[in-house]
Amino acid sequence: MADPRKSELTEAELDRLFEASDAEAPLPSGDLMARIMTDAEAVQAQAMAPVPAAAPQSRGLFAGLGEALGGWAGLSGLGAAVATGLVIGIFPPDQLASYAAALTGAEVSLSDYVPGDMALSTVASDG
Amino acid sequence: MALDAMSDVSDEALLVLYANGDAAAARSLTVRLAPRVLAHAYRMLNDRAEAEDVTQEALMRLWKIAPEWRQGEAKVTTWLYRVTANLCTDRLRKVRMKDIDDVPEMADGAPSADEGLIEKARAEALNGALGDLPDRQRQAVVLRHIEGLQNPEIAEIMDISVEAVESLTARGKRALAAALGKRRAELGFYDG
Repeated sequence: MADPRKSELTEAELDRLFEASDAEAPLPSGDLMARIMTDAEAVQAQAMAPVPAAAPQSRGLFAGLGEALGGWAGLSGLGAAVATGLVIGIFPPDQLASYAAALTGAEVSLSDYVPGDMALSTVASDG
Repeated sequence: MALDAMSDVSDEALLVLYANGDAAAARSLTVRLAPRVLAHAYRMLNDRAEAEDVTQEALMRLWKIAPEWRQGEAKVTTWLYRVTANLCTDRLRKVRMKDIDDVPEMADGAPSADEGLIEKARAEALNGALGDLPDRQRQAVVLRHIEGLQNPEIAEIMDISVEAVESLTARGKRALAAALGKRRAELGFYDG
Protein backbone atom coordinates (compact mmCIF):
# COMPACT_ATOMS: atom_id res chain seq x y z
CA MET A 1 0.00 0.00 0.00
CA ALA A 2 1.35 3.38 -1.00
CA ASP A 3 2.17 5.83 1.76
CA PRO A 4 -0.47 8.57 1.41
CA ARG A 5 1.91 11.07 3.04
CA LYS A 6 4.22 10.80 0.05
CA SER A 7 1.66 10.81 -2.73
CA GLU A 8 0.33 13.76 -4.64
CA LEU A 9 -3.10 15.22 -4.02
CA THR A 10 -5.74 14.10 -6.45
CA GLU A 11 -7.57 16.51 -8.74
CA ALA A 12 -10.65 16.32 -6.49
CA GLU A 13 -8.62 17.05 -3.36
CA LEU A 14 -6.96 20.00 -5.02
CA ASP A 15 -10.39 21.31 -5.97
CA ARG A 16 -11.41 21.09 -2.31
CA LEU A 17 -8.44 23.28 -1.43
CA PHE A 18 -9.38 25.81 -4.09
CA GLU A 19 -12.92 25.90 -2.71
CA ALA A 20 -11.59 26.37 0.80
CA SER A 21 -9.38 29.22 -0.36
CA ASP A 22 -12.33 30.87 -2.08
CA ALA A 23 -14.45 30.53 1.07
CA GLU A 24 -11.68 31.95 3.24
CA ALA A 25 -11.09 35.00 1.03
CA PRO A 26 -10.38 38.07 3.15
CA LEU A 27 -13.07 40.73 3.20
CA PRO A 28 -12.17 44.42 3.05
CA SER A 29 -12.27 46.10 6.43
CA GLY A 30 -14.42 49.15 7.01
CA ASP A 31 -11.26 51.21 7.27
CA LEU A 32 -10.05 50.06 3.85
CA MET A 33 -13.44 50.78 2.26
CA ALA A 34 -13.42 54.24 3.84
CA ARG A 35 -9.91 54.96 2.53
CA ILE A 36 -10.92 53.88 -0.97
CA MET A 37 -14.04 56.05 -0.91
CA THR A 38 -12.02 59.03 0.33
CA ASP A 39 -9.65 58.57 -2.61
CA ALA A 40 -12.57 58.27 -5.04
CA GLU A 41 -14.19 61.46 -3.78
CA ALA A 42 -10.92 63.40 -3.80
CA VAL A 43 -10.07 62.38 -7.38
CA GLN A 44 -13.62 63.08 -8.51
CA ALA A 45 -13.66 66.52 -6.86
CA GLN A 46 -10.35 67.39 -8.48
CA ALA A 47 -11.55 66.26 -11.90
CA MET A 48 -14.81 68.19 -11.60
CA ALA A 49 -13.21 71.42 -10.31
CA PRO A 50 -13.37 74.35 -12.78
CA VAL A 51 -10.12 75.07 -14.56
CA PRO A 52 -8.56 78.37 -13.35
CA ALA A 53 -8.52 81.18 -15.97
CA ALA A 54 -4.76 81.60 -15.76
CA ALA A 55 -2.79 78.89 -14.10
CA PRO A 56 0.36 80.37 -12.49
CA GLN A 57 2.39 77.35 -13.60
CA SER A 58 1.73 78.12 -17.26
CA ARG A 59 3.77 81.38 -17.27
CA GLY A 60 7.10 81.25 -19.00
CA LEU A 61 10.58 82.02 -17.76
CA PHE A 62 10.61 85.57 -19.14
CA ALA A 63 7.25 86.43 -17.56
CA GLY A 64 8.57 85.34 -14.18
CA LEU A 65 11.84 87.16 -14.70
CA GLY A 66 10.03 90.37 -15.68
CA GLU A 67 7.92 90.20 -12.55
CA ALA A 68 11.02 89.63 -10.42
CA LEU A 69 12.57 92.79 -11.87
CA GLY A 70 9.56 94.91 -10.96
CA GLY A 71 7.21 94.48 -13.91
CA TRP A 72 7.09 96.83 -16.87
CA ALA A 73 8.22 99.83 -14.82
CA GLY A 74 11.24 97.94 -13.59
CA LEU A 75 12.07 96.71 -17.06
CA SER A 76 11.86 100.31 -18.40
CA GLY A 77 14.37 101.46 -15.80
CA LEU A 78 16.59 98.53 -16.61
CA GLY A 79 16.42 99.44 -20.31
CA ALA A 80 17.43 103.02 -19.59
CA ALA A 81 20.37 101.86 -17.49
CA VAL A 82 21.49 99.52 -20.26
CA ALA A 83 21.29 102.37 -22.80
CA THR A 84 23.35 104.64 -20.52
CA GLY A 85 25.98 101.97 -20.14
CA LEU A 86 26.09 101.56 -23.88
CA VAL A 87 26.68 105.31 -24.34
CA ILE A 88 29.51 105.29 -21.80
CA GLY A 89 31.02 102.34 -23.57
CA ILE A 90 30.92 104.07 -26.93
CA PHE A 91 32.43 107.26 -25.52
CA PRO A 92 35.61 106.34 -23.58
CA PRO A 93 36.45 108.27 -20.37
CA ASP A 94 38.78 110.76 -22.09
CA GLN A 95 35.93 111.82 -24.29
CA LEU A 96 33.34 111.77 -21.54
CA ALA A 97 34.05 115.32 -20.43
CA SER A 98 33.56 116.79 -23.88
CA TYR A 99 30.42 114.70 -24.34
CA ALA A 100 29.04 115.97 -21.04
CA ALA A 101 30.01 119.49 -21.95
CA ALA A 102 28.27 119.11 -25.26
CA LEU A 103 25.15 117.95 -23.46
CA THR A 104 25.15 120.44 -20.56
CA GLY A 105 27.25 123.35 -21.85
CA ALA A 106 29.40 123.18 -18.67
CA GLU A 107 33.08 122.33 -18.18
CA VAL A 108 33.48 119.06 -16.35
CA SER A 109 36.42 116.82 -15.67
CA LEU A 110 36.76 113.09 -15.12
CA SER A 111 37.36 113.70 -11.38
CA ASP A 112 33.79 114.96 -11.11
CA TYR A 113 32.63 111.39 -11.73
CA VAL A 114 34.84 109.50 -9.31
CA PRO A 115 34.89 109.42 -5.46
CA GLY A 116 37.03 111.99 -3.67
CA ASP A 117 39.98 109.79 -2.59
CA MET A 118 40.25 108.29 -6.07
CA ALA A 119 40.22 111.79 -7.54
CA LEU A 120 43.10 112.75 -5.24
CA SER A 121 45.19 109.81 -6.28
CA THR A 122 44.44 110.64 -9.88
CA VAL A 123 45.65 114.20 -9.32
CA ALA A 124 48.76 112.97 -7.45
CA SER A 125 49.73 110.62 -10.21
CA ASP A 126 49.15 113.38 -12.72
CA GLY A 127 51.44 115.72 -10.81
CA MET B 1 -29.99 52.18 1.12
CA ALA B 2 -28.47 49.06 -0.41
CA LEU B 3 -24.71 48.95 -0.57
CA ASP B 4 -24.82 48.56 -4.33
CA ALA B 5 -27.93 50.44 -5.38
CA MET B 6 -26.88 50.20 -9.03
CA SER B 7 -26.57 46.43 -9.22
CA ASP B 8 -28.10 46.33 -12.70
CA VAL B 9 -25.58 48.79 -14.13
CA SER B 10 -22.36 47.43 -15.67
CA ASP B 11 -18.96 48.28 -14.20
CA GLU B 12 -18.06 50.15 -17.37
CA ALA B 13 -21.19 52.31 -17.25
CA LEU B 14 -20.60 52.99 -13.56
CA LEU B 15 -17.10 54.18 -14.31
CA VAL B 16 -18.43 56.64 -16.86
CA LEU B 17 -21.02 57.83 -14.34
CA TYR B 18 -18.22 58.28 -11.81
CA ALA B 19 -16.20 60.32 -14.28
CA ASN B 20 -19.25 62.52 -14.77
CA GLY B 21 -19.42 63.29 -11.05
CA ASP B 22 -21.84 60.65 -9.77
CA ALA B 23 -20.80 59.92 -6.17
CA ALA B 24 -23.07 56.87 -5.86
CA ALA B 25 -21.22 55.24 -8.76
CA ALA B 26 -17.98 55.36 -6.77
CA ARG B 27 -19.66 53.61 -3.86
CA SER B 28 -21.11 50.87 -6.08
CA LEU B 29 -17.77 50.27 -7.80
CA THR B 30 -15.98 50.12 -4.46
CA VAL B 31 -18.46 47.61 -3.04
CA ARG B 32 -18.18 45.43 -6.13
CA LEU B 33 -14.52 45.60 -6.89
CA ALA B 34 -12.62 46.07 -3.63
CA PRO B 35 -13.37 42.53 -2.34
CA ARG B 36 -12.21 40.97 -5.61
CA VAL B 37 -9.05 43.03 -5.78
CA LEU B 38 -8.24 42.38 -2.13
CA ALA B 39 -8.78 38.62 -2.49
CA HIS B 40 -6.59 38.45 -5.58
CA ALA B 41 -3.85 40.58 -4.03
CA TYR B 42 -3.95 38.50 -0.85
CA ARG B 43 -3.56 35.26 -2.78
CA MET B 44 -0.68 36.73 -4.70
CA LEU B 45 1.09 38.23 -1.67
CA ASN B 46 -0.12 36.13 1.27
CA ASP B 47 0.05 39.28 3.36
CA ARG B 48 -3.09 41.09 4.46
CA ALA B 49 -1.57 44.53 5.02
CA GLU B 50 0.29 44.48 1.71
CA ALA B 51 -2.85 43.27 -0.06
CA GLU B 52 -4.86 46.16 1.41
CA ASP B 53 -2.28 48.67 0.20
CA VAL B 54 -2.36 47.15 -3.27
CA THR B 55 -6.17 47.27 -3.27
CA GLN B 56 -6.22 50.95 -2.41
CA GLU B 57 -3.56 51.73 -5.01
CA ALA B 58 -5.26 49.70 -7.76
CA LEU B 59 -8.58 51.44 -7.18
CA MET B 60 -6.83 54.82 -7.03
CA ARG B 61 -5.53 54.12 -10.53
CA LEU B 62 -9.05 53.23 -11.61
CA TRP B 63 -10.41 56.54 -10.32
CA LYS B 64 -7.70 58.43 -12.16
CA ILE B 65 -8.19 56.60 -15.45
CA ALA B 66 -11.99 57.05 -15.35
CA PRO B 67 -12.18 60.24 -17.49
CA GLU B 68 -10.24 58.49 -20.27
CA TRP B 69 -12.16 55.21 -20.13
CA ARG B 70 -13.53 54.06 -23.47
CA GLN B 71 -16.57 51.82 -23.15
CA GLY B 72 -16.28 48.62 -25.14
CA GLU B 73 -12.49 48.51 -25.25
CA ALA B 74 -11.96 46.41 -22.14
CA LYS B 75 -13.75 45.12 -19.08
CA VAL B 76 -13.07 47.07 -15.93
CA THR B 77 -12.36 43.83 -14.05
CA THR B 78 -9.85 42.68 -16.66
CA TRP B 79 -8.02 46.00 -16.47
CA LEU B 80 -8.15 45.93 -12.69
CA TYR B 81 -6.81 42.39 -12.41
CA ARG B 82 -3.92 43.37 -14.64
CA VAL B 83 -3.11 46.45 -12.58
CA THR B 84 -3.40 44.43 -9.37
CA ALA B 85 -1.11 41.72 -10.69
CA ASN B 86 1.48 44.29 -11.74
CA LEU B 87 1.40 45.98 -8.35
CA CYS B 88 1.76 42.60 -6.64
CA THR B 89 4.66 41.64 -8.90
CA ASP B 90 6.44 44.88 -8.03
CA ARG B 91 6.09 44.12 -4.34
CA LEU B 92 7.13 40.50 -4.76
CA ARG B 93 10.32 41.64 -6.41
CA LYS B 94 11.16 43.59 -3.28
CA VAL B 95 10.01 41.17 -0.63
CA ARG B 96 9.97 37.47 -1.47
CA MET B 97 7.10 35.33 -0.31
CA LYS B 98 7.26 33.61 3.01
CA ASP B 99 8.30 29.97 2.94
CA ILE B 100 5.58 27.37 3.23
CA ASP B 101 7.17 26.37 6.53
CA ASP B 102 5.96 29.65 7.99
CA VAL B 103 2.36 28.49 7.67
CA PRO B 104 1.19 27.28 11.05
CA GLU B 105 0.94 23.53 10.96
CA MET B 106 -1.46 21.39 12.91
CA ALA B 107 -0.07 18.60 15.05
CA ASP B 108 0.45 15.37 13.13
CA GLY B 109 -2.27 12.83 13.69
CA ALA B 110 -4.48 15.26 15.51
CA PRO B 111 -6.72 16.83 12.91
CA SER B 112 -9.41 19.03 14.33
CA ALA B 113 -12.94 17.71 14.30
CA ASP B 114 -14.05 21.24 13.61
CA GLU B 115 -14.79 21.45 9.91
CA GLY B 116 -14.29 25.20 9.98
CA LEU B 117 -10.77 24.79 11.23
CA ILE B 118 -10.00 22.25 8.53
CA GLU B 119 -11.27 24.61 5.87
CA LYS B 120 -9.09 27.35 7.31
CA ALA B 121 -6.08 25.03 7.45
CA ARG B 122 -6.65 24.02 3.82
CA ALA B 123 -6.88 27.63 2.70
CA GLU B 124 -3.73 28.55 4.60
CA ALA B 125 -1.82 25.53 3.31
CA LEU B 126 -2.86 26.32 -0.24
CA ASN B 127 -1.86 29.97 0.11
CA GLY B 128 1.51 28.91 1.46
CA ALA B 129 2.06 26.49 -1.41
CA LEU B 130 0.91 29.09 -3.92
CA GLY B 131 3.60 31.35 -2.54
CA ASP B 132 6.23 28.85 -3.59
CA LEU B 133 5.09 28.81 -7.22
CA PRO B 134 6.71 31.09 -9.78
CA ASP B 135 4.75 34.34 -9.96
CA ARG B 136 3.15 33.68 -13.34
CA GLN B 137 2.08 30.16 -12.44
CA ARG B 138 0.58 31.41 -9.20
CA GLN B 139 -1.32 34.18 -10.97
CA ALA B 140 -2.73 31.81 -13.59
CA VAL B 141 -3.79 29.19 -11.02
CA VAL B 142 -5.43 31.77 -8.77
CA LEU B 143 -7.34 33.41 -11.61
CA ARG B 144 -8.47 30.09 -13.11
CA HIS B 145 -9.13 27.82 -10.17
CA ILE B 146 -9.96 30.12 -7.27
CA GLU B 147 -11.42 33.19 -8.88
CA GLY B 148 -13.07 31.19 -11.65
CA LEU B 149 -12.12 33.28 -14.69
CA GLN B 150 -12.13 31.73 -18.15
CA ASN B 151 -8.87 31.14 -19.99
CA PRO B 152 -9.41 33.81 -22.68
CA GLU B 153 -9.89 36.51 -20.04
CA ILE B 154 -6.85 35.27 -18.12
CA ALA B 155 -4.88 35.39 -21.35
CA GLU B 156 -5.93 39.01 -21.80
CA ILE B 157 -5.05 39.90 -18.21
CA MET B 158 -1.64 38.25 -18.42
CA ASP B 159 -1.03 39.32 -22.01
CA ILE B 160 -0.24 35.77 -23.16
CA SER B 161 -1.94 33.16 -25.34
CA VAL B 162 -4.68 30.85 -24.13
CA GLU B 163 -2.29 27.93 -24.67
CA ALA B 164 0.26 29.57 -22.42
CA VAL B 165 -2.43 30.00 -19.74
CA GLU B 166 -3.29 26.29 -19.99
CA SER B 167 0.38 25.39 -19.68
CA LEU B 168 0.90 27.63 -16.65
CA THR B 169 -2.17 26.34 -14.81
CA ALA B 170 -1.32 22.70 -15.55
CA ARG B 171 2.24 23.07 -14.26
CA GLY B 172 1.04 25.05 -11.26
CA LYS B 173 -1.51 22.44 -10.29
CA ARG B 174 1.02 19.62 -10.60
CA ALA B 175 3.41 21.50 -8.33
CA LEU B 176 0.66 22.16 -5.77
CA ALA B 177 -0.49 18.55 -5.80
CA ALA B 178 3.06 17.37 -5.17
CA ALA B 179 3.83 19.91 -2.46
CA LEU B 180 0.59 19.46 -0.55
CA GLY B 181 0.41 15.68 -0.94
CA LYS B 182 2.87 15.38 1.91
CA ARG B 183 0.39 17.15 4.18
CA ARG B 184 -2.62 15.05 3.23
CA ALA B 185 -3.48 13.97 6.78
CA GLU B 186 -3.41 17.42 8.36
CA LEU B 187 -5.57 18.69 5.50
CA GLY B 188 -8.23 16.12 6.33
CA PHE B 189 -7.63 13.76 3.39
CA TYR B 190 -7.26 10.24 4.74
CA ASP B 191 -8.11 7.95 1.87
CA GLY B 192 -5.12 8.58 -0.37
